[in-house]
Amino acid sequence: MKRLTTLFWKEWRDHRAALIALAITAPVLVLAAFLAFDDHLIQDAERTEPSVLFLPFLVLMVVIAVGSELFAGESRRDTLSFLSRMPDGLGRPLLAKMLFYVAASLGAVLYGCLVLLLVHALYGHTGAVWTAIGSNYHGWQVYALVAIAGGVWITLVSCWVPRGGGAILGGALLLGFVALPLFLLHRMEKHFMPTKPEVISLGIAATVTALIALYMSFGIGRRHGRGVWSSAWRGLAVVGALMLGTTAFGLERVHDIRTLSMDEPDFTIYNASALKGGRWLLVSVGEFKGPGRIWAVDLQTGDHQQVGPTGATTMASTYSRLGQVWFHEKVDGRRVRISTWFDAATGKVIKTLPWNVPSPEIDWIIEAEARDRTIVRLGERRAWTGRPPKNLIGNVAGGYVVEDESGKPKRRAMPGQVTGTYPWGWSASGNSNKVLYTVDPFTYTVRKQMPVDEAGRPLYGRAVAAKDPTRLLVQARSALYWVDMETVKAEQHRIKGVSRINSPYPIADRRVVLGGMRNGKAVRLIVDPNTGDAEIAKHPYHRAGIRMPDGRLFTFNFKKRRNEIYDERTGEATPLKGVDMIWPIGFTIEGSRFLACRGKKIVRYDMDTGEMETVWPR
Amino acid sequence: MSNHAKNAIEIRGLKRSFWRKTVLDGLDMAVPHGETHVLLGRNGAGKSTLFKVLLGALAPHAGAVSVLGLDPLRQGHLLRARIGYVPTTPDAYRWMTYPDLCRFLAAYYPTWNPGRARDLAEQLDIPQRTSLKSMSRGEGMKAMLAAALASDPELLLLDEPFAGLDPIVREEVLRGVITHLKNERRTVLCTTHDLDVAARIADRVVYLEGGRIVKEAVVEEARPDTLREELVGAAAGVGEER
Repeated sequence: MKRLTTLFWKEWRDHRAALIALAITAPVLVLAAFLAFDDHLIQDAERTEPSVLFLPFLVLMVVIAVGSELFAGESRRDTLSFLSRMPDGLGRPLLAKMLFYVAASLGAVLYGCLVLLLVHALYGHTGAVWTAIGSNYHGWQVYALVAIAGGVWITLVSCWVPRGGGAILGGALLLGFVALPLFLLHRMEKHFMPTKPEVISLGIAATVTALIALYMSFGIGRRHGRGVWSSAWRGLAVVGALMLGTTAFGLERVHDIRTLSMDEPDFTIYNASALKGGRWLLVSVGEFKGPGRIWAVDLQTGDHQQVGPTGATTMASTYSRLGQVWFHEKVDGRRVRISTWFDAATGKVIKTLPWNVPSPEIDWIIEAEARDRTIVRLGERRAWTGRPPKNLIGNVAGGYVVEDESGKPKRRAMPGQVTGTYPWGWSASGNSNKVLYTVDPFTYTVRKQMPVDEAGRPLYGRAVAAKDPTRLLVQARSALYWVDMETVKAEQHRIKGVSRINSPYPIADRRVVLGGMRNGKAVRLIVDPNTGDAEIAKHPYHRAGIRMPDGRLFTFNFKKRRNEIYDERTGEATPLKGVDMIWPIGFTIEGSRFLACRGKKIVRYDMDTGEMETVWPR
Repeated sequence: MSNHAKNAIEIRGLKRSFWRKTVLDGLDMAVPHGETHVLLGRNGAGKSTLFKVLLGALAPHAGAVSVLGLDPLRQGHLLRARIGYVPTTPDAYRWMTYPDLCRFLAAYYPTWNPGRARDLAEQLDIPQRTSLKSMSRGEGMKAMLAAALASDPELLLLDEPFAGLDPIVREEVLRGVITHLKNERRTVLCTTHDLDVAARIADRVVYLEGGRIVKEAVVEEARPDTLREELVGAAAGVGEER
């Protein structure tokens, strides 16, 4: 222990100049980042985030400064012979170096947090630091993994080069070399994307391998006066083993991706949509870890065919009911969303169109369900449900589309992608944070400004609903606001005892459900957007589910892990008979029976009797 | 009593090459306990390589080596704790002061004697607050010598410690070595190019050439000129043979 302590002290003396320099620079950097974002229009958390980014930066600097010099420094100063002459040899110094590396990295994290808190305490924003750190929880995991794995690899390469700077470049090249098979596998099969556990496992494997290679290189490779090449070859042998292992694993994954059979143990039906006519279902299937596929299932014959490539998805039932399947592909160097259409009348795939590449081919327009109509324009092919529209709004890159009664579309360009279209029409959209637009749902005119609150701060919000064209109820900044559509000024609409209002979604009677906090507990609010009146919902409303013909709602109560039939008017929730959880398929309700997904099967379920029969596979 | 017990260093048929160059070529050598042997030889004769083998820092390609009854390669950790080593130039961390160096070494050597380290520093006039980086070469060498002696080693390996020193400092370092050799009958193996040094400290002088010992001489009375004649003659003989 005494020797380890002494070696640890030696490492501190070797690296203290760089560490002290970083410790002095750190508060200056944080203060600079904080002051650079000193704008009254920016919220505290938004202002804090850039300065919080300093934390991984500091850790990275420490990792590079220490990691690259741990071994290269010994070579450069020609002190390896002195160290290897000690009775213990090089094993204990290696351990001390690794412990020092870990301690320096952890010290950088703790010191960085302390600096952030102190600097922000000067401005009274200490809480914002924790919020910013907390909001990036998954980011920290990645940063930590990169710092640990990257640092150890830099340290490993520093055994083979006399200069720490060379270790950084060498470490990056070596990691690239290790990642090359994975990159090539991805080129071979674009759905070969490592999952998060796999990335973490790979990071851990890379770190452990680098540590083993480090021992082989430094602890053994430098023993008995062996030089750099002996060290490097031994280390590279371990690295090669890692590369072979990851390549073999990757090939296995690619094979898994390319084959999907219903007999496989983790084959699952995720959801399904009934196409018009009732003969075909678009079924989303896949394996637990693999990419999804969309199968068009013929309920008459029991046959199925794949629609679109592997990895395709369906989204809202409105679209999938018309047979639309989405997938992503590179077009003109950009990754864009492509849609494929399955024609339920002929049982064939009819068209593949880019989703967000402006082109005469894609002046198709879809309006949300709340207007009780769905219009799709596909070149000369046109289809709609519900009433023919008077006007249409579509989400199209670079603008929106209005179609008059003659059916002639007019494209109106907007500098920025229209985003956040919401049922009942009002949408907030923008191009970064600088140019802001609103689209009036009643006149379809564009306002080149966003609603602003009493302090003049812009509201990034979502209109919850309104019949009155002069004002809208908007959820923004964790609150509700009334927005005057003439002046575009907003006034907060307070609901007594409720804070942090969020996530609106529509329910029956054109009312809206919002999340909120009351007395420290999460609640659901049912709000009338015309009056602003609010009440606490009795039902948890985890998911709206599907609307029954009698107006009741088929919902999922995840707390109780069961399906319920919920009456929004009476607030009564009745559990389903005979089954805990099934996933109903929209537009398949016939009386008390409907189709539903259950594990590997499509079943027909009777709500009155609780009986269930398998419809597919036969 | 075995040979190991009689001799502090016992080497038989030692071979060591670097790529195609043979540095030690079947070296046989024995250094009895308590004697001081000086290794002479041209640059590249294999003196430093031999030291590395003795310290267990270099694996021999052939032959048997025993130091203090231990195998340097397999029992290096035990052996190095009993050996003091002074390199050609100070190779410890340059930020270390003499007390820092002592603090570092004290953790490693069970026989470390702090009082002796202090005494040696006083005797050799080693600066206490100056780092090795700021010390003169002579001061640095004295620090390394004192640090090597403070652990009271059974075997002292001196790898040309007098090379490159100015005459005054060289004399100081030499006196330091001689004083301690006289007081304690320690086993010493020293390499040098300096015949005067060899004559003053050696019980036996060994001339290394082509990886082998080509001449050995017992130094009864210090006579550098006599030694020079003998060794020059030996070197010439080797040249003729080749």
